[in-house]
Amino acid sequence: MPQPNIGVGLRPTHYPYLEPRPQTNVTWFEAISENYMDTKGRPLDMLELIRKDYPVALHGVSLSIASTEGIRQNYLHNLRDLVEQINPFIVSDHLCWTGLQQQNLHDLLPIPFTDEALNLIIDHVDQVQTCLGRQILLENVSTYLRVPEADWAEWDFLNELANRSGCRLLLDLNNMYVNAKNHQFDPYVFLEAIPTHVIGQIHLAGYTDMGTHLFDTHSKPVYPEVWDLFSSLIARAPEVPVLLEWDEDIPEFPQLEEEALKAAHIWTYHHGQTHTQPVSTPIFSSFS
Amino acid sequence: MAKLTLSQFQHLFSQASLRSEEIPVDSVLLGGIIPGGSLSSDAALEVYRTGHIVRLTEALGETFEAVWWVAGDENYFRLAKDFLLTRSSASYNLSDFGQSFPDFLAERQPFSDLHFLADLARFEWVFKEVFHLPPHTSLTPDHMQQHLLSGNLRLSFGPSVRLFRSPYSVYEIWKIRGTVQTSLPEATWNQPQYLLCYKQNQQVYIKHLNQPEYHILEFLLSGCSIDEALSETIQAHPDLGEATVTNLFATLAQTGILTGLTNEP
Repeated sequence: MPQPNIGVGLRPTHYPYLEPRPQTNVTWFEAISENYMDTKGRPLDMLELIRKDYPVALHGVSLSIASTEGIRQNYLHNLRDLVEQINPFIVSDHLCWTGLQQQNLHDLLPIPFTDEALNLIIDHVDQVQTCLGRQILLENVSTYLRVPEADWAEWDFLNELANRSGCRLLLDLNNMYVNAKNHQFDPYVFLEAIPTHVIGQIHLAGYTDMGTHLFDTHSKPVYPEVWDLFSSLIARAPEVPVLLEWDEDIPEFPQLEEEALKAAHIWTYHHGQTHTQPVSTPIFSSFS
Repeated sequence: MAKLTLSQFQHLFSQASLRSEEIPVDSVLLGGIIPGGSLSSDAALEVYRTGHIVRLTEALGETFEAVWWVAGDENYFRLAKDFLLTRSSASYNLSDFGQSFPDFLAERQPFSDLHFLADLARFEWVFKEVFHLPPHTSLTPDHMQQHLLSGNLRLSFGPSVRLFRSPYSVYEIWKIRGTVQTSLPEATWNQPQYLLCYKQNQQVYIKHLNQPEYHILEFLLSGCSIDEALSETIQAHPDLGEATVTNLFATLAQTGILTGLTNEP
């Protein structure tokens, strides 16, 4: 019988808590690849320490898979070295570009959902998967603008990409919700368009309402609407690993863990009892 | 309007994100996007432009924490913005951004009373580099004891060993970063400083050297034998005494920065 597979992001602020190797209620950690690719210092020691006790996913922010200037070869080789060293169970990055090679904006920038972009990304995914010798996952990103001359809806673009490139999707439900509100579509249309066999991982996080738009900040608890999306998805995809991201105003590890374990409760609601430790706080307001 | 190619879109988008606010966005790009939420097209692009400034300012501030502290928030944000609008990031790794920030500060000399700022930044960059360098296995004191008497010896050092010198006591400033100070009296920083930076057990250590010790180590790190390093140093410091040399080799033993000894001519 499957069990809920709930992880949290490994962040430097939690190193002192995690270093004595305490018992935790999460089953895996996700590490930002770039934080460990170019260091032989303490961060890498911490990642190796965590890896002794948990499965680890490597999640990148700089692959720039949609860049028309191509994939940086030094990036790819450094990533491959880290993958060989850590042996992660998932390697992922974002469906975006991050800037030009000489003018890197270090952001997850929007792509037009066109045939041209699709073909370019499929070529790049092939390059990356060949170099790494394994499948990668690509994550849908939050956007604050879009290009009108699109050939595809975002969800159809993602499906086509997964089907033709052989990559899988890291479905970020917060980003899905943010885009649904910013670009005025029904998030359940997006969600139901994605077959579960292409979903390799789920991300949960909190956004910030800027008044004019929703902004993906990873600075708050997961919103009830996003939990609802999660509930709908996990009901039909019980084996997909789930990760809670929190990158700004990061709480203490036990509070982070507690937020992440709400996902386990929702999983249990749909799929029955588990061995997961109970948590003391209510799960989420709109779910009953 | 003709459909933009992906390359055209990405170049226009980059220009829009890297421009200063007084420069208007290219009308082709403005006409080629639909803003999200209730944003205008300009405002939607501004989300990415300001995001870029905030992200790179934060990254710079993580490396140059003491410069930020000395300059104060307002001055630091202005300096960081001027820097990042003129020096693009070419690395995939955000923490690589800022290598030329010390040179930028040296050129600008933004504060007439803070001459040390560029050197403080240079120290912070060295500290960051040392932090990320690999650990090494040190020579044992016994091994060193057996060999250090030979003048022909050449020493190998761990990869994290760096020397740093400045006409200003920047390490003393760095140590008090983040504390509440109403002023930095000149006496606290207006002295030359010679430092050995190294790593042991994944901790970065800073050790004060005197000027002759610094020079001997500089020669040893460049591959000179002990005899060569001492004779070169004596030329600049005719009064170099045995005590200085003894102290330096005691430091080499204590710090564990040596990884090998060779007796090659």
